[in-house]
Amino acid sequence: MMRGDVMVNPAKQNIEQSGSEPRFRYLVFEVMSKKEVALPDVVQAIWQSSNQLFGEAGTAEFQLWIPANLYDKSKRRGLVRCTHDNVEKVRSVIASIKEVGSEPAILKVVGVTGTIRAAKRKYFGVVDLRAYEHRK
Amino acid sequence: MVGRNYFDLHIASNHSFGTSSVEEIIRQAEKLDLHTIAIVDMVDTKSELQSIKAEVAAVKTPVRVLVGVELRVSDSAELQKKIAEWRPFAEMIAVSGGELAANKAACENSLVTLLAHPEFKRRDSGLDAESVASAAKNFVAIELNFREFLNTFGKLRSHILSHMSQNVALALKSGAPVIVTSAAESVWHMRAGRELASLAYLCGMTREQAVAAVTAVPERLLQKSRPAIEILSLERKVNAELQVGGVGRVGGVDDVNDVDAVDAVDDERRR
Repeated sequence: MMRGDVMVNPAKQNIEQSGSEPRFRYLVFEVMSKKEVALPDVVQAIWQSSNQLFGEAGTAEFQLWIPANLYDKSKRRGLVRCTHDNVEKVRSVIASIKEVGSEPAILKVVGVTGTIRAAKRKYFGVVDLRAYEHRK
Repeated sequence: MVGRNYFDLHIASNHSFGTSSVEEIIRQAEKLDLHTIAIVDMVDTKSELQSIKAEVAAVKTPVRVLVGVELRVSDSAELQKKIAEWRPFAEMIAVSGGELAANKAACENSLVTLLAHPEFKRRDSGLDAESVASAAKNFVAIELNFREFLNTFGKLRSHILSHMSQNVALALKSGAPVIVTSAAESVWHMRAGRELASLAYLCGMTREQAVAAVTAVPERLLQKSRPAIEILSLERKVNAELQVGGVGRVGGVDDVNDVDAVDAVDDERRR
């Protein structure tokens, strides 16, 4: 690299070259276990499983994000974001989880959506008031 | 969207390796939205199989539950003998793979429903092009065993995935059926159909092929199994009647391995 050259983040460069932000998908999962499990344990289990199966570099490509505010304790449902072309891999990550905390558990994917709003509406029972206003 | 029918054709109960009862397995299958499951145990006597059937019958459920046996054999002759013994009672036959001779024998026998974990405890994938071609011809499913994947990590899991991928590549080349099963030994090892399919995706299948490995392919396998049972029982009945009449066994099929041969005998008799 020559002096004075600007270092460009390769990930950002890709986005700029393609001219758009990466497309995401949102996997809504349900935790099945005998006892109640805490969200930090679920998050830990997903990251650990992903790192074990695909390594750190592989996991980086997924751009995983597990929003804490979207974990529904009563329904035991949460949401994982990933890039649109890695849905199947993230599904296998979720499938390979055996335990959450120290409790045997199954994480079942109940649906995949293209937006958080659709996930909230379909799987978390959130009523979209904007749709209601449009109907009016 | 219309829901798909998901199949899991290999679950062990507490009658063999498993730790969960038949009822617990069925209840978990309901929660996981499975359409059909098969409780496949390595049992020694027919009364054990009957007791599993009775336990299944006692549970009211929308899930279709089949009862099968897992056979451990060392060669083709032993497999044929065991199939003749078990086929009229079991709704499906799984052969425990791993040994090369057992893998080959299972692929060559059209009355076998699936070859379980052909790569089990092996340094290779356990199958060659010839065996997979036989599996395609006889419509014997090659299993991708989710338990093997779930219960391993690191080097061993990498080896298993690599061997499974090799088998998938061979099967796709020759058109042999591939199915994914949980092979669960506990209800906590069971998975929903779409999650099972993700293993096939990891082994090199497309998304559509992976989904077919837990939907369309197992469904076709069970359609194949049904007539085979009926043909065999018909064959036995006819032979018994002929022997009672003092005619002896006419054109009998010693080789229960070959459904086509049984068909040919039936056709000949009709003529």
